[in-house]
Amino acid sequence: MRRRELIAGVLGLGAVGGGAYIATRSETGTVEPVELQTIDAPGSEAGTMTVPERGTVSVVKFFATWCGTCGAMMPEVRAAHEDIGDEANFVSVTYEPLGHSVTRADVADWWRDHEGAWTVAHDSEFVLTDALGVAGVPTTAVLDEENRIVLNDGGYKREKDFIEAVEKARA
Amino acid sequence: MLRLTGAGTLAATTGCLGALGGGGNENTVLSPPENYELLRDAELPYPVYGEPLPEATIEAPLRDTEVSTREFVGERHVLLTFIFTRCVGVCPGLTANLVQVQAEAAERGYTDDVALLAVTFDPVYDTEEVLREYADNMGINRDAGNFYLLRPDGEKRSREVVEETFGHGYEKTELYEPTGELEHNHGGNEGNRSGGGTGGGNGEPQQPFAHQPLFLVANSEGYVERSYGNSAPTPNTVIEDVNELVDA
Repeated sequence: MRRRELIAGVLGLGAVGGGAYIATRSETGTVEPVELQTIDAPGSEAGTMTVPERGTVSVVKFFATWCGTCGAMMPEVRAAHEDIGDEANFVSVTYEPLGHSVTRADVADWWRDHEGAWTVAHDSEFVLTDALGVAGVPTTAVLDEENRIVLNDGGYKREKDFIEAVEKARA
Repeated sequence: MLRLTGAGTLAATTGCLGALGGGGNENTVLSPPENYELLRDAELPYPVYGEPLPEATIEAPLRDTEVSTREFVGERHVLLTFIFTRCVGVCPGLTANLVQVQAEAAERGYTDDVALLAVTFDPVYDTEEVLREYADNMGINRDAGNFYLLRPDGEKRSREVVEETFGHGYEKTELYEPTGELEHNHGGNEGNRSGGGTGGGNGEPQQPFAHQPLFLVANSEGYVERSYGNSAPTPNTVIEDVNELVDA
């Protein structure tokens, strides 16, 4: 009987294996700019970057080097970046603990292997991660020029999803 | 209350498990979670704040041994979650949270004060070989000696441990196959099922199991401090919990 209740609870979420991403993520609100360390990789220089930057639309892609779906999504992000990279600031962010099993060089290798061509950054103190309530990857956030959240969603995203969100942010 | 098969016995012998004045609990270090009264009164199938961590002894194939979830009592804080390695939804984030704590522990010098346990509920697919590959892919430091990938011996045992003892519900979906590999590395054809299918339109891929995440934080005395159900905790949430326990 208990098992039935458990399963009812699971299915009550209305999504198989899903639902879980929803609760902690902030779906509205404004995000304060934070400074992230950027990584030396194709299209990305070592240094710092303010994310999200006021006055420009931001596309923030949270990923991890172990994340198969994140890798599979890269052609979609790349296509979106080619289409609208001049209208929005693209940045991919990992919050993996770097310097342990995974290093900055590993992130750069992953970036090269997946043909990234924009800034890749590390949220070592979870500042942006916490501001957006991110608990899993991939997560995609799009913020408008006032840093208001337009999109903050988990799972696989296609080229058109990025374009639509950026159009909405610019509307 | 199936979990009481394990936890209830302990509760009866140790007593003192209810909330005390001020909402605290003499067995816990952290303050009660915000929604504590709701959690306590909801009679959730999994253990909540102030309750004993249930006992189960589960094989740890990568260490060629068995581990009791309570063998660390008196020695280490325990973080425990439930996963399957071919999951491309919430589970890798749960494992990644354990990896985050492992890294924090290494940086702050408390590697030997925590035990990080991930129990698979897909034992047919998750063989020793698969678990080893998973550990390496997820960036688990297997040499640190504080990370345990646990595999109940068979589906029946998995049901007993994961669902009955710990109250983590899961169910096979129509996509379940004993050895079916999800093609999440091959062009992303698990895709965004928005507008149809069981993905519910939230970008979640279809999976062989339906489950809700459960992530437990228990103190070194064997009492649950936090149980994150419904949604995965953010990594920083978990790190802050453990740091507070270690610093107490």
